[in-house]
Amino acid sequence: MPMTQLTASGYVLNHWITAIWITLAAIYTYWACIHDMLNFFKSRAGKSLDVE
Amino acid sequence: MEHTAPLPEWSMYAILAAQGIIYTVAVVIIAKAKGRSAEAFLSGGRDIGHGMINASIVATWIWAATLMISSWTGFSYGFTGPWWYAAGATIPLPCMAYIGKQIKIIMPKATSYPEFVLFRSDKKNHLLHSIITIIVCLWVTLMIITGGGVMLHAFTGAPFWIIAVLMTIIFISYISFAGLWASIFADTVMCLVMYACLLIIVWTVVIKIGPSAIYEGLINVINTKPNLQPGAPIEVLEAQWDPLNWFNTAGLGFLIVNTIGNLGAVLCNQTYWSRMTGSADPYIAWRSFMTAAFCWWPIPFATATALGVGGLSMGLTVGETYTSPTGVGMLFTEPTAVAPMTAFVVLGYLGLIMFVVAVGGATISTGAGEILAVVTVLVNDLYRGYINPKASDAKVLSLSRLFLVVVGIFLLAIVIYWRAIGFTFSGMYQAMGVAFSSAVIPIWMFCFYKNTNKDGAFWATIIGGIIGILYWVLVADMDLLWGVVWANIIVMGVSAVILIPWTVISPQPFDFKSMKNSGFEYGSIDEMLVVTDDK
Repeated sequence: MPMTQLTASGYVLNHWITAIWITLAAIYTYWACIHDMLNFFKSRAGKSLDVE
Repeated sequence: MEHTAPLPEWSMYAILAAQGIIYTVAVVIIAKAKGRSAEAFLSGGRDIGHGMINASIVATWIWAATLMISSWTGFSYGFTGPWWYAAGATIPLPCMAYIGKQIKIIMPKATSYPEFVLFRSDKKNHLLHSIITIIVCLWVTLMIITGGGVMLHAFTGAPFWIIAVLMTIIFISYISFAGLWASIFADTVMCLVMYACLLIIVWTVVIKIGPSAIYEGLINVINTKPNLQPGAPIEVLEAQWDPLNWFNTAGLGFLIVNTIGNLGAVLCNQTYWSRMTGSADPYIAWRSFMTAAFCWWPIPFATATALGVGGLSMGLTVGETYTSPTGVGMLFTEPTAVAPMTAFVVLGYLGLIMFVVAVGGATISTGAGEILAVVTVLVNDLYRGYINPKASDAKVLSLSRLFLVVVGIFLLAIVIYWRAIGFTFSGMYQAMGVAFSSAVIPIWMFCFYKNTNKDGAFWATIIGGIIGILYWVLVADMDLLWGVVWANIIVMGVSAVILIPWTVISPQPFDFKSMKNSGFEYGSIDEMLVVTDDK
């Protein structure tokens, strides 16, 4: 086997890294978006109250 | 066993109609105010937070190509394909992070990237970069509409031209109401939907098949050297028979093409500059592009590993028909269709529908952003800059909406014509760098180096592009293996070799502080330049 070729454990690790990384990325994106949306609607509610 | 399109035609109409109605209604209800002034329409109000900007960058940078061609690299080069696809396409995002932060600090009123070039250099560079970014955005939109249309046609049997028309109508409808904010809002929703679909697909492959079984399948490919792409050149097959090697040479060539091409597709693309424009402050702009890099990389990385490498390990062969777990058949039409093919084999209709929703969302989000980017440059830079500098707010707003329709019709005409004459897009992705990336180094130097020579930047962009294109067409005979790799290297290399020495020999000092209040607000370009010179 060439030195530059992945072993079985190397490939398995690589595959798990891809799955875990996309999961972490999704969690972060969801959290950041929900945080922003909540701020957006709060500021709109705040402006409505000010007008009233 | 059936051999018709795997999904019913009505499912395409349902998916597209649902997305179009949801985004248009949501934008009308939530963001009417964002469409009331030209400034808000083109800049999104300049107060959008990190979460939405991050999601918008991720969604905009996912094309149909991201999911389909990245999986093709996994199928063609093995495990390194997803690595090099993801790496090459992610590199531009941190670059844009630093550019975005710099522009928000030195020219906070910038609306478009050619506008920055105008106030940083001169009219000839402004016109050149206006044309470049219009071509980049149109090129990307053409690839997106065609890629999305071909995919949905293959999966649902719906006529290609109807899919193309519906997609374009959806792009234009919600953007017309609230401009950039609408584009970013829809991107955000689509990003969340895409992640959900891709997570299900990726984890199902991990649980149902498992990395160890995929490894065994790859070892089988190495040992048996199957012909999975009948009719392909031997070099293509040999690359496929080396799926576990870090130094798969065809894969390394793809890395170079991918990196140079994507640098041009991002740094010369008004769509990404718009995300910087819409950010509330320089730190949010910087942070959003950096986190987008972290969040975007695993999308092609995980999808291509699961579906591209997974398909290779299963020995999927182009031209064969495979059945889902419920016994329905689907033809493996071409190597770039390995992602939906593997999703169908592993998850059946559920996998295919989720893939179609993900690609449909990617197509709509990116297409809408790119069309708005074209309109922004046409109206903000060319119309207000040269034709009617005293245009009123109402005039700019109505023209923006009119141009959305005109550009949409223009794009549709090209897409349908090219489809009718059988023009294929297999090389368009790899040839991007040859067309645009001579502008990358001049842009970078304009942003960060105060002594950049303006004439050097202009000629470096033009000559680098011409020499690269001539090499690829005349010397490499438009070869899509190593010919396009060398063409990409030449384009950027020639641009650097011209601009850097020219600047060293004849520096033109520029004070970045003079751009603090620059922007298209006054009567004419000459008057604006006088105003900024006085400061």
